[in-house]
Amino acid sequence: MWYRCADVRRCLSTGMSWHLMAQTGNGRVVENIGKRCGGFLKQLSLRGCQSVNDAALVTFAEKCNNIEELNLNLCKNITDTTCTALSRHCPRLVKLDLDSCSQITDISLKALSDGCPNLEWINVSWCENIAQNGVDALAHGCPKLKGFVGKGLKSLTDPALISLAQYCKNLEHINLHSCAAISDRGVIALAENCVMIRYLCLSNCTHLTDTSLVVLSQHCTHLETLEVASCSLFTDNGFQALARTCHVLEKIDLEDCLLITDATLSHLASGCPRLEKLSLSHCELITDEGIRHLGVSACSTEHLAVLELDNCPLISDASLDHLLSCHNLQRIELYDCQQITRAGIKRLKSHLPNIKVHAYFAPQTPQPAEGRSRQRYCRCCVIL
Amino acid sequence: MRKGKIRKFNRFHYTNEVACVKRNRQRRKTSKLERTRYRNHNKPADFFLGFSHTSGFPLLLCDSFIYITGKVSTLTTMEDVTCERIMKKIEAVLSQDTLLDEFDIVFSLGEVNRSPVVHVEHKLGLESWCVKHVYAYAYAKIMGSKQTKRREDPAQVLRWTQFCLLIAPEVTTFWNLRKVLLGQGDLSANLELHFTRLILSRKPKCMEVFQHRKWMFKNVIAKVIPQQANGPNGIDPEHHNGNGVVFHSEQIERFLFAELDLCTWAANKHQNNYHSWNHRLWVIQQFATYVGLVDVCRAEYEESHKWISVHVSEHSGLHYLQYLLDSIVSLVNESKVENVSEIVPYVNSVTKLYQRELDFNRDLIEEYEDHEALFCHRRFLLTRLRDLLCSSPQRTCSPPPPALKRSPG
Repeated sequence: MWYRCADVRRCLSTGMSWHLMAQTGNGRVVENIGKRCGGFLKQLSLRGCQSVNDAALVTFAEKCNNIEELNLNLCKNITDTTCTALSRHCPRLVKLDLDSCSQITDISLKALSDGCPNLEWINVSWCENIAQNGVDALAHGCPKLKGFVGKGLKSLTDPALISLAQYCKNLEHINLHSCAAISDRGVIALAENCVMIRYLCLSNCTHLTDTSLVVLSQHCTHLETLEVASCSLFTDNGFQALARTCHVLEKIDLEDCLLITDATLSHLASGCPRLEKLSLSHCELITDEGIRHLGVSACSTEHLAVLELDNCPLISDASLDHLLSCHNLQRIELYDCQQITRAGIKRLKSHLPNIKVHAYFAPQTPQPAEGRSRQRYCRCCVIL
Repeated sequence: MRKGKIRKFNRFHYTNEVACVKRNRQRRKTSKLERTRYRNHNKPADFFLGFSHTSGFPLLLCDSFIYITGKVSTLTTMEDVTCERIMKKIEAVLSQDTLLDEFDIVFSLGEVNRSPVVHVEHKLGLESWCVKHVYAYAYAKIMGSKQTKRREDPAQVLRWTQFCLLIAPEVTTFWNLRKVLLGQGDLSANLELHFTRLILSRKPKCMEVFQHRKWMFKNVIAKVIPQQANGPNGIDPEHHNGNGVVFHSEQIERFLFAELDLCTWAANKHQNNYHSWNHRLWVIQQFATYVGLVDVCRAEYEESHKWISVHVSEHSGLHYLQYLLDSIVSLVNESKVENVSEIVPYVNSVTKLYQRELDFNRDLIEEYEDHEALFCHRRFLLTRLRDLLCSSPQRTCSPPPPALKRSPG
């Protein structure tokens, strides 16, 4: 089999087009790419190629020494052997995606830390065998790390985060979704050391309390995106501190933060003028008053684009009236807000014609009679 | 373009559902009436109406047909996001609540901003206003993915087919898609068994559901059983001595009794549920030898009598009893049991067994008048008794003939 470089280049970013080829070629395709491209290949995405195995990737690593970005998302067959080969032959690796490769363990991270000092971005989501030792080694060996994505690492603990914070001070993008074992200690260490954080996802880390938010607000003033869905211990105090210093926040996800009230919304409205996306799903204490704060704030008229209010039982049509001035609003979710009526949505739509309102209302079929009656007023016919 | 697409859909369904009927009647000369019926079946409206023979909302499906063809452009549709959200909710309920035992469509106009998925006390309801919209969306998605032959995410295909089957379990296309996914291991067999049971709660007379369960036992579960039967128990299937007691597997037993319960449940839910009894027969034929034919016959005989005494006009149940009687007689003839009394207490011979049945039948006829099924059953009993007495009057006292070697299953 032989592929033109143009084909390879075209397929690099999408990955999905490889899927069939890699499945039928049983990994030989990857070896062939390696042989043909040699040192010229810089980026390769094998996302979803489940039949690619270690042998193919070892050969590939030997041939393509200059690879910089490698995406092995969902390649479930690969093991630590692949990462060992990568560390031995590919010192220029910058970005590596090992999402859902469930056989990867700490050994891989150790190997990468030895051989790939230039690593800037790593994704080890759902590799559940990874624990403290691996992350420790990674932090020691790859000080240039900017992005760390570790969703669902159940055995990741605070000491691992502390060492990550100590050695990788350039971290900008951190995702710890569903790392249920971490607590305030780890987040405080991250906040104190990595002041450049722009993106932070702590969703489903249920042990975190307001202390985390307060320390984050003291150090990480560049924070743009904060996702804390299901952190049900956070209260208004934490968000008050956050809104006082983090003025560039653009996206906030507060789904299932059950304790927050209208006070949080008033703080966010006054402190975060660039807010674009706000999710308040299942925040059952939010009322129309909170939405009023949001409606009159600086962010609302120009920036606010997406607002999710589903399952907030106290929200009524008055909220929608408060939002009439949000000219940039593109999408609003109102599922299960039972006090919302059709009339309220109609009024909102008449003021903001481009808005998409998501609610559980039966779509209405317009009467065919209307169309006919309109035709009667056709001006030209009247003139003739 | 649109028209062409629709014609393709029709051809697809035509091949799926009508062709098998046609094949059966291939040699018979089709009458003019039948030919027109085929032609009508080919029309889209009929094919949609064909789905809903037990529940009462053919109108809704007609509407969704209008949406799919796109002929009526003024019909506003629900957003894709909302459709997906409703389907996800149903999927979540199905996977989380293992005790879920009933599904149905609840009438509602959709005037309140409330989730149409109602989950109360292990019952699942779906408000009627959303059915046609979500069904139309899911149907279009499934057919679209089939036409373009693109490889869709298995989780999504499962979600779409799950919804469509809850609404219209008669469509084999959806079942076939799920069979492919079951074969690939994207779907667990236990979840699927639970799901089919839920569909039966709404349409207990749906043949395709029983067909799917049958297919699952043959292709998915049958592959699991032999390993587990041989592995942990360490019993070689060759030691199986004909009674089926030695080759004992708990799992088969559990499957068998769960399946028999399901059949009783479905038979109670809908009158004249032929498919349920048919499935019961199949289950007995397939699995009873593993558990012990004698035990199963004893339990079933008793169960069947109870059922018949409260369902006097259902021929399916009586036919099942006839099958049981025949298999008891053959057990005696093959000397797998020494006496009938091992299965039916206080009955010593086959003749007595028939006499007892005739008495039972007479009591029912006297108590409930004018039920044809009872008289048909009586005719069967008398025929068998006549055959027995005429062919070999001395059989009851002579020693039984040598046992026939019959392999289990």
